[in-house]
Amino acid sequence: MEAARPRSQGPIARALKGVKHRVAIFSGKGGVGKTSATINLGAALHEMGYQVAIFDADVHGPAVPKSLGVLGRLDVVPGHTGHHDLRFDPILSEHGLKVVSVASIWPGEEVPILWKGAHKMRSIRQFLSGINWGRLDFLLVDLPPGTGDEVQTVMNSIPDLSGMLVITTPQGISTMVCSKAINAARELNAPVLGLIENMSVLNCPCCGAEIHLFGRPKGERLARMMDVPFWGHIPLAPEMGECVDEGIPVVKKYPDAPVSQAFREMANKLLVSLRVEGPMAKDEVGMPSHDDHDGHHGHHPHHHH
Amino acid sequence: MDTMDIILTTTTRPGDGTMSQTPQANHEELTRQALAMGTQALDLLRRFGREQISADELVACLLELGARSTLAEYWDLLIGEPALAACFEVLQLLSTLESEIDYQLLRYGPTSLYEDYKELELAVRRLKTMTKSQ
Repeated sequence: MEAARPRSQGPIARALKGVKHRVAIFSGKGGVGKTSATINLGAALHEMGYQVAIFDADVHGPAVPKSLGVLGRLDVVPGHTGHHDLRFDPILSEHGLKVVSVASIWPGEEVPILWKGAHKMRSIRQFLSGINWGRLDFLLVDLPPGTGDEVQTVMNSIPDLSGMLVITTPQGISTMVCSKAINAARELNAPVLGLIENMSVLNCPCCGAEIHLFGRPKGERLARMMDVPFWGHIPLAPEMGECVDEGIPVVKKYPDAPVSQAFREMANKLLVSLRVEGPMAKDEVGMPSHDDHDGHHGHHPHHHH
Repeated sequence: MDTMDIILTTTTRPGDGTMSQTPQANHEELTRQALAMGTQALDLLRRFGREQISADELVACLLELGARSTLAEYWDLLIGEPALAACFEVLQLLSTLESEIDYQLLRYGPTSLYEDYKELELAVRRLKTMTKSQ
């Protein structure tokens, strides 16, 4: 058997060579708005001039393509030598984000994905190594809830993972499960960059009064207790549902809404946390990023709307 | 032992790219190829489980099946046609084994392949049902 490859030399490391910062977004519990947070964080970073890709690692409930209005499929990139191999360009969303998701390869929305543990692990790794990610400032990985196979695979497989961002809501159950997720990240030596409390408060559209639909915010206390940086609150915004249905990030459709401002603030916190000094130079973007055996250098992602 | 000695002989090499012209014939040919590969992979996994072949031989034989290149070659057809979902399942599973089995064996050990065997067995059974109904 082949010996274990050093992390920095495997096919995933080669594929991600041009990616500066690799951040995974996770939560303990489902339904906390992790995907919305990921795409809006990505859109806010893109607005600031950063090259961003989103990898939807939620095998059983992939939601990123729909949330970004991406309806197309991943196409195999033809090799220059006529050799067939599974290499793909990411799909470019209308708003400039590169997207990769299992939903973009699945034959039919009604066909269930019944992959099990090791199969999921292999598929995620195959995606990570088979995509022409190109040069990116950020790769944001939208993880499924919990600490299962997909989460562990991403944490174990992405070399030089910059860190994890934890999303929670004010519900007691969410904060409780969230602490488990933070401990899991620690067990797997993945740095936790910060904790964000989503859906913290709803501002009444009539009088502006604060309504705590899910109870009083608990994120800050949880962050203190778990000794992780607290990045702040994202308000519950009625616009969010509409934007997800339309496949547009809220920061694009309602740039002045408080929820959009909150996402921009979180994007700034991410830049500070990772000590990012600015987007890569424009002429750097199109440069080849990895030693593709087939001579396919650079990437020309296609638009799918 | 030579990898080709281990792989069961089939009348046509899977993944040889000889596809017919009509969509129905293409579906049938692809189903037949995926079924042949799935059946051979099941046999290989079974033999590996019984320690009749080594991990190195298993890896080499899976590579020899060529599921990854077949999946790449007929990608558009496979992901564009829900009727071929069972074919896609078999080829996709085998292609991930082809790419990542060394990592899986190192990280999770040989017993982790039992789950794949069961999953593949189900997918192959679905394909067999499809072939009979064609």
